[in-house]
Parts: sequence; C-alpha cells; structure tokens
Amino acid sequence: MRKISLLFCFLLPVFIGIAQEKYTISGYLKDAKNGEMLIGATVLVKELGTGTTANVYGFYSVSVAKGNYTIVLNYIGYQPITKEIILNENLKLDFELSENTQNLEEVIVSSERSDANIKNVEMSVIKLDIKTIQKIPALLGEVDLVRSIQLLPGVSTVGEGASGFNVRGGGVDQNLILLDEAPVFNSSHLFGFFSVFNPDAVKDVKLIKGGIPAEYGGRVSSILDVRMKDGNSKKLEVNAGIGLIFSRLSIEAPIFKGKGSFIIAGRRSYIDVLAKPFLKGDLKEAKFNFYDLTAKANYTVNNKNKIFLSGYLGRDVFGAGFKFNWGNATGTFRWSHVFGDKLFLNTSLIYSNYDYLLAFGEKGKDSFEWKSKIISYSVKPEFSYFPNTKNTIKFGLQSTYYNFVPGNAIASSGGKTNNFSLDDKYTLESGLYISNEQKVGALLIFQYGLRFSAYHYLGKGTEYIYRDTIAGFRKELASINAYESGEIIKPYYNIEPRFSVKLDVAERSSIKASYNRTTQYLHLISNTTASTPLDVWTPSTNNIKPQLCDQIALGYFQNFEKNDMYESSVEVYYKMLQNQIDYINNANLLLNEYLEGDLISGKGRAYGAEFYLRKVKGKFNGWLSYTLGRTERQVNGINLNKWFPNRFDKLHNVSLVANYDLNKRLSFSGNFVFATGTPATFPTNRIEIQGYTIPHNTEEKRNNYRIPAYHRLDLSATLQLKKKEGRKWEGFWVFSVYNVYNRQNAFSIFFRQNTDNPVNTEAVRYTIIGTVIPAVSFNFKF
Amino acid sequence: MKNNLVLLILFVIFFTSCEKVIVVKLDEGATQLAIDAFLNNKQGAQKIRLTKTSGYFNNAPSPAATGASVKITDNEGRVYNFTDVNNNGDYVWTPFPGDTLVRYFNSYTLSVTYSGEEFQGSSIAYPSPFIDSVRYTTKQESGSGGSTTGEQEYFASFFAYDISGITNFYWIKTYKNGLFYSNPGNMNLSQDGAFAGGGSDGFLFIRPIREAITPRDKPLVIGDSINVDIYAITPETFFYLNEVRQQTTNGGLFATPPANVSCNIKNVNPNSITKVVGWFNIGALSSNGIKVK
Repeated sequence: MRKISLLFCFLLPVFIGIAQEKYTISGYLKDAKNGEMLIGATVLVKELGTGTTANVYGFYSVSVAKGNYTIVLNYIGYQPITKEIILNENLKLDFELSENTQNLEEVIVSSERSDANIKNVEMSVIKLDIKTIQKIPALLGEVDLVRSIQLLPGVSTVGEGASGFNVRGGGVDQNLILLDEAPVFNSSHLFGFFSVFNPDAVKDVKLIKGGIPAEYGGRVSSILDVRMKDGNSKKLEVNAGIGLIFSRLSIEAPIFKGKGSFIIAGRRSYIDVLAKPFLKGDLKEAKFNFYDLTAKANYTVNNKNKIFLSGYLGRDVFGAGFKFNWGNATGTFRWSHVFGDKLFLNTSLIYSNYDYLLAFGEKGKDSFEWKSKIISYSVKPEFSYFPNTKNTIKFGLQSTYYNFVPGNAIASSGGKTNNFSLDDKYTLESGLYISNEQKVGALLIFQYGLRFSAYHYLGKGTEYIYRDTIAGFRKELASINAYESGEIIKPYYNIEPRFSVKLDVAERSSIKASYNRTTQYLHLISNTTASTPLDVWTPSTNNIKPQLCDQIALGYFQNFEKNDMYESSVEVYYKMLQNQIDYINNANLLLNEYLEGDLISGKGRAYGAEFYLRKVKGKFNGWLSYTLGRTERQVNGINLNKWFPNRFDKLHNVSLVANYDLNKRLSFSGNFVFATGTPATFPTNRIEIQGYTIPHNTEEKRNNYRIPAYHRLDLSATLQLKKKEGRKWEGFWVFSVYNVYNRQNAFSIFFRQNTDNPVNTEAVRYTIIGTVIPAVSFNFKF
Repeated sequence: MKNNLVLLILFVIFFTSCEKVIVVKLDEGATQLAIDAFLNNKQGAQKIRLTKTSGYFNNAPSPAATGASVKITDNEGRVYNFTDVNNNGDYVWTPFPGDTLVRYFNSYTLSVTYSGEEFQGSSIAYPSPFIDSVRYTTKQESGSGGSTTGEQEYFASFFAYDISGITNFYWIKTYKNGLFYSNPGNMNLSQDGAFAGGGSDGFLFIRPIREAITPRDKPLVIGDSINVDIYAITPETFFYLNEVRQQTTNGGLFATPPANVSCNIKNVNPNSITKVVGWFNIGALSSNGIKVK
C-alpha cells in the first residue's frame, strides 16, 4: 500500500497549481475523407510550444491560460491545419484533416508527427499502419499483420507455419492480443500461415514490447493492440481483393445521416474448392478452409457521447472423414463520454470466445467428439484526465470473468458411450490502475503508474493437492477438496509498477528508459514446437502460480537528414521471468484430469539488443532491423537443472525491407530475413526394444544442438490500374514471389528409423515451405 | 455499383512441406546395458534380449551383452532362469509343454546381473481378451481407401471386447505374412478398448483401434495373411510404449521436446553410477488371424 500512497504524492502537484484561470480546448480529430478518427494526431499551441496528442479514440484536450493562440494540428501524411483562436471560454473544436495529396506516392510509415519516435515517452513500441503492411511482399500475396510485425526488431517466430509470435524471448502465450479491446486467444488461421486480422478492417496496429503502460495487464511479454476502422462516415466505400488462397470484401458506409458509420469485412479461403478436381476418392469430400467476418458500427449520440459496437467471427474448418474446426468470436460494446472538457471516459463491455471441436465417426455409434473452449466477459471503465498541458492522467478498472472448458469428450463404441469430460473452471481477474504522463521542462517526460491485479480461482471446482516428488517426475495426487459455486479456491494479488522516462539529448535525439512488472494468470498448455489449435488455456490454480516478469529497457533514438528522413534506434533489454510452466518428460497434456501433476515450474531470462534503421520517406524507403538476443530457462528436472536455451531462441535475427516506387503506378518491394537456427535436442545413442530403435540422450541434455540458419528472400510488384475518365473504381495488381531462391529452410530436424529397414536410423530435415511460391492477387475499390 | 469481376489466372499451389534425410554428426554417449524383456504366456521359448547401446547412427544391430545371469521370480516363489545358450544376447527360458510363465495378477521380478552390477525390475501379469474374429472388407468403415493401383485392396479389422471389471491396457500387434509391422507410427495401444482416459470398461474395441491393424498406405491384397495379437500390458508399460511412439515419430510442426523414454529396471545399488535402460513387461497374449481369399 505504501507504493500507492507514494504514487499519489507524485500526482498531487498535478492537481494543485491549477489555480490560474485556464480554459480548455477539446474535441475530436478526424480524417476529412472518410471520417476515421486520427489516433495520435498532435495538437500544438504554437505560442507556448506545447500541446497534446489525440488518444486512441481521436479525442484531445488542452488546458491553457486565457489568451490568443495559434493552434496547429498535425498528422503525418496529412495537411496541417492552423487556426487562430481567442480563448476566453472553454472551446469544443472538432477538426478534419485532409490527406496530403502532393506526396501521395510517398510511403507513410508512421502516423503522428514525423519525430514522434524521438519525442514520445513510449519506447519499445512498434507501430505499423496498414499502408506499410500492404507494401511488404507477402506469402501468396496476402497482406498479413502478424507476419509483418515479425520483420521488426525484437519479434520472431519459431518457424514458418507456427502460430503466434515471440517478443523479446517471450512465449507465444505471453502476448496480449487485442482486437478492439477484446482478447483474441488464437491469432492464427491455417495453423500459423495467416493471422485472423483482416487488413481491410484494421486501422492501427501497435505492439508494445517494453515499458508497458499501466492500463494494460494480463500478459507478461507484450501487447498487440489492433484497432479496427470505424467505417467511412462520408460515403459508401467498397474494397475487395481476389487472391489465390482467399478473397476479401469489405463495405463501409455512413449511417444515421452521417452521425454514424459502419464497416463489414469478410474473407473466405477456397483452397479445398480449387483443389477438388485434383483430389482422388474420399479426399474429394475433404474440407480445408477458413473464413472470418469483422464488423463495426459507431454512432455519435451528441458531442459528449459516442457508442461503438464491434465484433469478429472466424473459423478454420478441416475435415476428411473427421471434423476439426476452431475459431474465435469476439464482441465489444463501447461507450465514450466526455465529462466537461478534461475528463474522458471510455467504458467497454467485452465478450471473447475461443473454441475447437474434434470429432470422428457417426454420433452415438462409433464416435469420438471433443470440444474445448475459453469464454471471457469483461467490463472496463477507463478514464483519461487532461488537467493541463503537462499531465495526462489515466485511471480505470478492468474486470474479467473467465469460464474454461478444458475438454468435453464423449466416445462411443458398439453402442456403449463413455464421457470423459473434464470439469469447467472459473476465474475472476481484475485490475485497478492509475498512471500519469508528466512533462517536466521541455526535455523530460515521465510516465509512471501502478497496476494492482487481483485474481480469484473460483468454484465450482476441485482443488488437487499433490505430493512433492523429485523434480521432473509425475507428481502423485495426495488429496482433493471440492468447492461450491462462487467459493474462492485460490486468490492471488500483485502490484505491478510501471515506469518510463524520456530525455531529449539533442534536437533530434533522445534517450529513454523503462521498467515494468507484469503478471499473467492464464497459461497456454503446450509443449509442442509450434502451438496447436488443440492447446488448452488453463488458469492459475493452487498448483500453477501466476507468471511474473520484470523488464528493464534502455534506448537511444536519433533521426537524421532533413524532415527526419531517417529514423534510428538502439534498445537493450533484460527480462526476468518467474513461474514459467514446463512439462515433465512425456507429459500427458490433453484431457488429463491430473494435468497439474505433469507440470513443473521454472524461471526464465531474456536479454538482447535491438538495432533499427529506417528510411521513412522518398521513392526508395524501407528498414533494416537487427536483433541480438538470448532467451533461456532453468527448470528443475530438465537439462540436469541447468539453464538451457528456449526452443525459439535465435541469437541473430536480421530483416531488411525495401520499397521502390518507380512511378505513380508501379512499385517494387523486397525483403530478406536471416536468423540463427533454433535449438534442438539430438540423441547420442540408440536403444533397441521390441524392434523399435529409440533415440536416447545419455547426458539428458535439452536443446544441445542447433538446426541450420534460416534465410529467405521475397519480392513483389504492385501495379495500379490506369485511371480512366468515367470509371468509378480503381484497382491494383500485386505480383509476389515468396522464397525466391528456393531455400529449404529447416523447421526442425528429427530422428526416425528407416521404414524399409528398421535397424537403420536417419536424421530428417523437416521443411514447411520447401518451394518458391509465386502468387498474384487483384484488389479494387470504389 | 455494378462491377464486372476480373477473372484471374490462378496458380494452384499447395503448401508443400517436405522431409529430406540429411547427414548430421552426433556425439556418441557412454555405452549402457539395454534390457528388452517383453514376456507372455505362449508356449515356446520366452526371450529376454540384452544389448549394449551404441551410437544413434550406428546402423547395425546393437552388440549383444553376454555373460549376464538373468532370472525371473514371482510372488509365489517360482524361479525362472533365462540362459544365453547361443551366446548372442538372447536369454531364453522354455516352458515344459502345458506350463506357462504367466499366472494372472501375479507379480514378477526380473533380476539381471551384468559386469558385477545387479539390476531389477517388476511387472504384474494381466489377462488378454479373446479375439472373436478378424475380418476384411474392400473399404474401411470410415470410408477411407480407394485403390490407386487398380488391384483390389482389402482392409482388415479385428473384433474383441475389453475385459470388464478391471482397467486393462493392451498392445495390439499386427503381423502381415508373418512380419511384424514395426513402423512406430502404427503402434496400436488401447486402454479398456479405447485410446486412453478410462471409463470405457467392457467396450468393444473402438473403430480406429480395430481398423488400425491395416495401415491405410499398406492395404492387403489377395493371398496376404494377417495376424493380430492382443498383448496385455501394465499401466506403466502403456505409458512407456506411448513414450516410445512419441519419441520415434517426433517430427512435424507439432513435435514435442525430445526426451528420454522411461525405464522400469533399476540398479539395486542406488549409489552406483552405472545406469541401465530398457523395459520389463509380462502379460497374456491372445491371437487370431485371417487370410485374404
């Protein structure tokens, strides 16, 4: 509690010292063309040399003393607006900024002002707007958000086709993935080839790798905050694309006479339909597709109140004599309210569901059916308070109720039916936070905050108590205790301090530092190389402790040349993780009531340096990213209790992305990636038992070898159709080649006995994409 | 609003994951004694094989461990001495006609003395269910199949009921034309007639297990014979064989971290640094078979 009172001491000077007569200018900043809110657009009071930025809902508020001012509104890629005002009362001013048509060909890689990377307190943050993502050569020509962020420093993946991504040595389950504030539990389609985000419906993407602000909680490594478009509030707009794997269509339009708008965007893959003529026999009935639907609507009730409704529904469907499908569904209802001029409230009600089904056979006869899901309901009132130009205070509450269905499984054979379902689990996770961003003088900005998280593992449920055993062996059940509905089985409380600071050291360079502690109460139970759709999320219990992470990061940011043509940064980080879940050898993770007996716990550490150089503007632009990093863990019972590298550890990770705009119609892009091979465990000896040759590692080492390095080159060209008089639509072609020089990158190396001669053993390199993949897609809008 | 969709030339591409055998240099670890002791109630020689582990890529049968003394005792005081008559690592005990090694639910101790160290393991003998029949059809029940070569292909299934009243574990072993299907991917294990998890006591062996005796890519043709053994295993052996299957087929996108398989045979001297690998199981075995005509 002492920490909290300390925080209030910090905040106190913010509230006093406002005695002088001050007035507030507030309102929304929008895009003149389609009415989209401009997240992070800046408002500058020229005479004072100070200002503010619009929040994620496009709202801004500045309080200054009475007087005459010139305010300048800026958003990169948009024409600035300058307005003279006489401030002798509180003003409500909404602005609409127009896109900068003169430089239409210029690629805009970051929003906000061009030196935001230097001037903002936030560090370890990656922002990508959809225009940048669209330029990157993509697998099968399909723009993908998650694959794009993997080209940026500190972000990696265990391999092609693997779900999710790893941030600064964290696991795939340690990223909080938010789609319009709703958590997404599985961000992948087709295992990991595509992400669930439809680029047509995405406005803004932000990945926070460090210095995580207090308003975010629940995962230890990173936050991927994806904001959906509000929909064009000026006119009807249709975007569509036809590709080899799937097609997309999105429609946006104003509603309620321009007081609101909506967007609805869908995608459907048709690999199975295209493949049908080539498949034989029973495979003709094979299903292999995915679809998703993203929709959002907003309505401005009046200038104090706005409401939003957004949702996502997506599913992957596989089948060939069996049924296997999985998907996410999310829904967000949001109400924004402005109290007076300085206090902004956003309240969200959020629903999220992830479920899967695996089934064989005819129901009731000879069949097996297995369902699992995780459902969450959240309420989230969040306040932003703009007391003056020096401080921005955020505070709020988040409370989420989870219902876990780890496995409902029913099997039947010969008329008998057997139900071996596991019990549901329930938890309540809440967070209370307050933070302030404070400018001190012209050069220094602090952002400090506290998050208090409370977690309750609730009944109805069973508490399993296990006997201690030698680490690494299955724990034996000692006793069980049953709890009634609503009873608390196990609570956890944590205080999570968050701190960041920025200091300008020269006109165009700054240093930044941050510390944060994060807590994670949910765990993805997965010990496979790539996480599978069948992996089950499990809550913290009396046996599974919440994960904790402490991260410190230090960075230097510098821009070069005129108009901040080049951006560069170097960041170093060190992360310590506690209560990392691991598994005993040959653990049984699926449909196992006594799963907790197979889990062991250890600690982790990750450290590294990230180098980043980006040419932001000009016909030729792009970036170079290099990450030098290590991620390791130490678990009693594994690797003789010594530290070992994580399965996704990559010492070197390089990405080079380049775009060249030849003329107004034609542009070329390329990217090259290189990464150290991931670690692998190789055997030393063989054991022959019952005709099987079993690999054996006499030293009991984990990850004692490395697979070969990964590298790949992709190229693409985008050709805009000629504009014709009278033609209302415009379109462009994207031609792409993935894996240009046909590198057979190893995903893994495994060992097996030869099928024809079981005495012989062999090492096998497993490649996910072992060929050049050319693709073409056509996109149009009207 | 009217829009003529532009037709596309479509390249039909599939994700082509591929596997290639490569050369990897491995360090060889210290040699250990490996004990392969899977015994049953059948007439004829019962065999325990003792070998010395060798380098993983040493592509020859592991060298025999000779000169050991090997015996099995049961909880009723019977002693069975296994001898390496041919000095090739095969330690054999042959029952008299009408006698058997297996008495249901007795517990057995295996004792091996080798190079001055004694190793012991134990197992309980479980019964095995009667196999009603082995049948074949031109199509698997699940609708899989369909000939690719033009020759009529057949798929066999076996029919048996789990022994009710107790939890049973089985290893279903298939022999085609007398040859054991040794592909670990086809290892067919069952708990109470279902895959695992329990609660299926007394079940008719479930369809995927019944059908797994014919691997999809290895259908039968006229003239083939197929024989099925249901071998009773202990719960520990069931987990062990699952581990063997996992560790010998651990490829692909969803591989788990390679780990050493368990061992239920231990050095009786806990302070000794000499370790042993291997497994001991004793149980009943029932068989049935058919010839495709």
